[in-house]
Amino acid sequence: MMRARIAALLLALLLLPAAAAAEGALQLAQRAAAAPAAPETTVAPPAAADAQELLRILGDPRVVEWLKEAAAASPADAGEDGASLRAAVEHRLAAARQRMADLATAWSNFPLVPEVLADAWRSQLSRGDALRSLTYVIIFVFVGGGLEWLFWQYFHPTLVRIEHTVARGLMRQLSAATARLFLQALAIAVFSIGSVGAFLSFAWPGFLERVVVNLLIGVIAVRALATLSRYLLAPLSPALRLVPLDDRLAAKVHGWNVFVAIIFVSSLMISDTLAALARTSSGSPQAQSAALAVSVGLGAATALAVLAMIWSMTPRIVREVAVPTFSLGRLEPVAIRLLPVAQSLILIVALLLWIAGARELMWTVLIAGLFAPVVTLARAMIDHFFDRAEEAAEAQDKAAAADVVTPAPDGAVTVPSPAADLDGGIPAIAPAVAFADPAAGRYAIYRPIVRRLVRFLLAVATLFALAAAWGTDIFALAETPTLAGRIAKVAINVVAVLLLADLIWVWARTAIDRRLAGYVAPPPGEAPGPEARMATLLPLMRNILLVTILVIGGLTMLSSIGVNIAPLLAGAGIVGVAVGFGTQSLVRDIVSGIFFLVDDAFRVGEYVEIGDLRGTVESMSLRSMRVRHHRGAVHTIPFGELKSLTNYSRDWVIMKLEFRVPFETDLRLVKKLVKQVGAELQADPAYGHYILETLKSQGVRRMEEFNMVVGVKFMARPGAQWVIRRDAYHKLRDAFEKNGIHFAQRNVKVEVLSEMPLPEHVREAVAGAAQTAIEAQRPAAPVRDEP
Amino acid sequence: MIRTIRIVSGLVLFAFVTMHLVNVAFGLRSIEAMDDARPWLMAVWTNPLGSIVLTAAFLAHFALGLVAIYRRNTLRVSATDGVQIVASLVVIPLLTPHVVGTALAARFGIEPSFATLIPYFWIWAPEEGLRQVLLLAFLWIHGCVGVVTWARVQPWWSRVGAFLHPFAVAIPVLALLGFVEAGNQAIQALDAAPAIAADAATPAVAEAGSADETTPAEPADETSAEPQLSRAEILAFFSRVNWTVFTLYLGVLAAVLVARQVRLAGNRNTIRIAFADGPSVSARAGLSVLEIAEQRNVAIAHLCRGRARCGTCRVHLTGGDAALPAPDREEAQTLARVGAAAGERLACQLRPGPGMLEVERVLAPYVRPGDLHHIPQAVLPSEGTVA
Repeated sequence: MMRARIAALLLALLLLPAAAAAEGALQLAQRAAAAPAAPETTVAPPAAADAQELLRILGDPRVVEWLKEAAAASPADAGEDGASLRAAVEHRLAAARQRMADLATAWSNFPLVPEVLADAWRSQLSRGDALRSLTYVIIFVFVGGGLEWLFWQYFHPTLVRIEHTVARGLMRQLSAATARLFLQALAIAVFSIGSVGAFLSFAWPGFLERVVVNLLIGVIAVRALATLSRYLLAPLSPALRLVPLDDRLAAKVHGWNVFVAIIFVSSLMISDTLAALARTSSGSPQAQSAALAVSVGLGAATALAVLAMIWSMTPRIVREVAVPTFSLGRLEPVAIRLLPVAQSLILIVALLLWIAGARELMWTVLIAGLFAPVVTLARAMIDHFFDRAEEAAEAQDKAAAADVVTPAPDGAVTVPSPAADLDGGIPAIAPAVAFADPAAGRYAIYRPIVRRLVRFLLAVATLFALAAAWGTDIFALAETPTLAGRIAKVAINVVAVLLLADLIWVWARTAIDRRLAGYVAPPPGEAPGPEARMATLLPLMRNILLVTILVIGGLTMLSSIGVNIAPLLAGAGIVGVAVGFGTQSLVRDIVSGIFFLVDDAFRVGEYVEIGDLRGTVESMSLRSMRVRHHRGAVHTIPFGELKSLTNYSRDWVIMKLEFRVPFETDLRLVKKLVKQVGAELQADPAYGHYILETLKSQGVRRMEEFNMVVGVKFMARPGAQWVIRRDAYHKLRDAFEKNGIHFAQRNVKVEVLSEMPLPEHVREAVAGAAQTAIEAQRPAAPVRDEP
Repeated sequence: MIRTIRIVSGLVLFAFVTMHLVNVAFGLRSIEAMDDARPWLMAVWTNPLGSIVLTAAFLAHFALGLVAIYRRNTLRVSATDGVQIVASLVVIPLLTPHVVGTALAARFGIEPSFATLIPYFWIWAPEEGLRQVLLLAFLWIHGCVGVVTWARVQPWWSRVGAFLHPFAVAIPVLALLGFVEAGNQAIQALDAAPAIAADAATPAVAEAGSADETTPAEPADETSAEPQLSRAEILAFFSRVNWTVFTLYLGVLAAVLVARQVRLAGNRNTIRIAFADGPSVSARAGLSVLEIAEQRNVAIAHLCRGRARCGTCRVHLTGGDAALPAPDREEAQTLARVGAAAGERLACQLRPGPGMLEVERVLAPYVRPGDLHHIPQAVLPSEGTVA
């Protein structure tokens, strides 16, 4: 359905610039047709010298003074508004009546039209002149064409290169299409300069010039419109197409566009030429009404062509590229079927209004009628662009992932050894995993924003177009001190504020909703991850943001309306300060909690140390975290109190063990045994996979009085180190035992300087004395507290 | 051989047209200047030898054109070829009244000059002026397309081509502007002194009249027998000859087209061609690979537009069961010159029999003429980036 309106809206795109470009001509034609009602339009424009003179006079300060006085002396223009409005309405009604009378005359004289026009034509342009003007047109088209050919001789290879190089990625595609448009536009410009420029460099009799220039402009206008249509549709190069249509359909729509453009432009040109003919000195009332009749007929022909296009293309597009974007349910088929009817109705109403001479109303109907299809087209194009961009991003990610997986060509390691796998495996996989997720929706956040923005801009453009149709300059109006000016000014401010607030809000909401949509609640019984806290925080942030935006936007709007918001601000400021002082620490807790979360400093289930508190993180609230000591105590710590935090559960831990052996121990044997134990540990099914670097000997770490200290260490994933240490000690002891290595034991030798054997009780007394001496020497070190 | 005759005769005709147009361009100055320049510029062609060469070139080119139409396998041609064919077909009726008008008028004892012809074209018979402009446009387009197609694969083209392009535009544009300016002068002269101009115009009409494109030898005896014909009689005679020639021309053309249709009748086989990195298309057998590709919008470089000169359209045959005719002499020469690998053929000359063919384009479609001679063949842009 979204694409269903593309035909109509391509038409819109086609007609809008054409209409804008041709508006002047149309206006001329209509004024000419309504010449009796507005005879002053036939007065020739002043010569350049006259304009200079006028400027000089106006520049004279005396004249300015006099004008000011005259203006002050003139009756107060309080009732000016109402009077001018009434006058305007009267004027319009009179013009409409006149137009009706003209139309009636034209209709009654309709059979005479060819004759009258032929007479007027002959009086202005003999047969020889007509043939000659045709000759001129051909000559100057040839001149323009020749110059364009010359242009293409130098730039055609570039064009072919653009068209045949597959554009990868949205930006490349867009820039290629735009470069092509630029080249073609340049060619048309060269053609125009060659044809119209060469023609105008000669001097011609008035009406002949009008005819030839009209023909040349017609050719150029049709070419420009065709180029524009080709830019959007690119019927021959799908890689450059900017709308989501397939080859066949794009070619058909393009063909229709060109056809309608030809009809439209030639109608305009013929109308203008005939109007000019009727306006010349020989222009009789009959000739004028004949020109009017012809221009009405041509307008009807144009409308018919557009109608044919609507009825031929709209149902086809609906049928072939139906994409369910409407959720109308059972009404959808009806809506689709009614679409061409609605479009036709708008067109017919516009045509009738034009015939009736109500130009403003015609433009209003056309612009209002075009708004919906143009918005739909813009939406389709934006979706198309985003789809393309995401495709490109996906392809890029795939390529990147492929690059990562395949080993680098310069690396000598083509067959990954276990060691290389261990070292390189983790970082190599990590980026691929990181890429896979955002590929699907890297641009998803921006899609609704761009949609909104474009819709808004289109609405603003529509407003301006309407204002232009009614001959009002909004900005100029806003500068005037009248009521309408005030309203316009306020409206501009309010609209700008609304646009900004809306964009910010849509962006924030999309981002937050996307994060929330990615959150999966943990299965019952399992501890929630860090996202859980995010999931509680984000809606809160969204609400805060909404309130903030509403308040700021509201205040801005109030101030632009003229309400004095200073007291409001002051009051709010005082209350804010009071509340702020009161809740200072609360706010600090919440904010620093957010930042700890952003830093990913800890997660539920991790073993952390905060100052002198240690324990496993059990839960987090908005304000504080709860840490359970391994002996059961629960610490509650507000986030604001966290200065630094040590996390013992990240990535890896290194454990260093040491034990004492006598000096006579065989260190090589120790090393061998440690290695053996390390291998055993690694092979353990329960915790082997936690070991990153298994147990290895670090040799003698230091010498003590009675023994050597041998160090060993291992690296493991957090959480398993205690079990591994336990088993390491256990296995080492057993292995040493088996190989006859004994741990050094502290013993005290008491030398008794006596030959005599000591009796039992004396020995005990000596040992006791020595024990006391030793214990007095070395106080027992506190045992480190570990879970 | 045919190729050589065609281009040589075409170049002769092109040279003649160019000099004639340069002459007309003097109209930007004045009508007298045109007439003053005429002996200098046209002397080459007005002497007997020049006339014979010109006539022979025209006849040869005309005949070869008909042969080319007869030998075409399809009339769905590329834009350039279409322009070329249509322009050549239109030129004859446009040319008929003008070409030997000068020659034939001379038989009536009237020396054609710009001073008489310009007012005739612009004032007394504007439709003839229109005809002249159309003739110039079609003739020049036909000539330029032909010459450029031939020249741009020549080794010297990359040096001079960029300088010749502006001339290709400047000459007809200046000629047309000269024509316009001369016409304006004539009209102003008429406005200034209508009576004198009208007097002067009477013989002008008579002598300018229309002309015949057949060889001047044919009507020569008639004209010499009746040198004192009145103006109306001369015009009527010209008109009769024109219509005769036009009917004859249509007859010959129709005969050629019918003969071509007969030659192609009964051919119902189809050939399917799969392009590497491109679509797979099917078409009537008997077309060249290039023609098929153009009809199906598959881009293939063909700088010489299918004349077997440039070798840019060569394709590598990678498979298929279609019968392949052996390369003819021109194709073999070109293939050898560009150093084509085994299994490569020129798409413009290869007309595969019914069946299936897999081909791979050797060069990118956007190869420039300059690439042919300056860059070694190996580093030409390859197919990689092409859809």
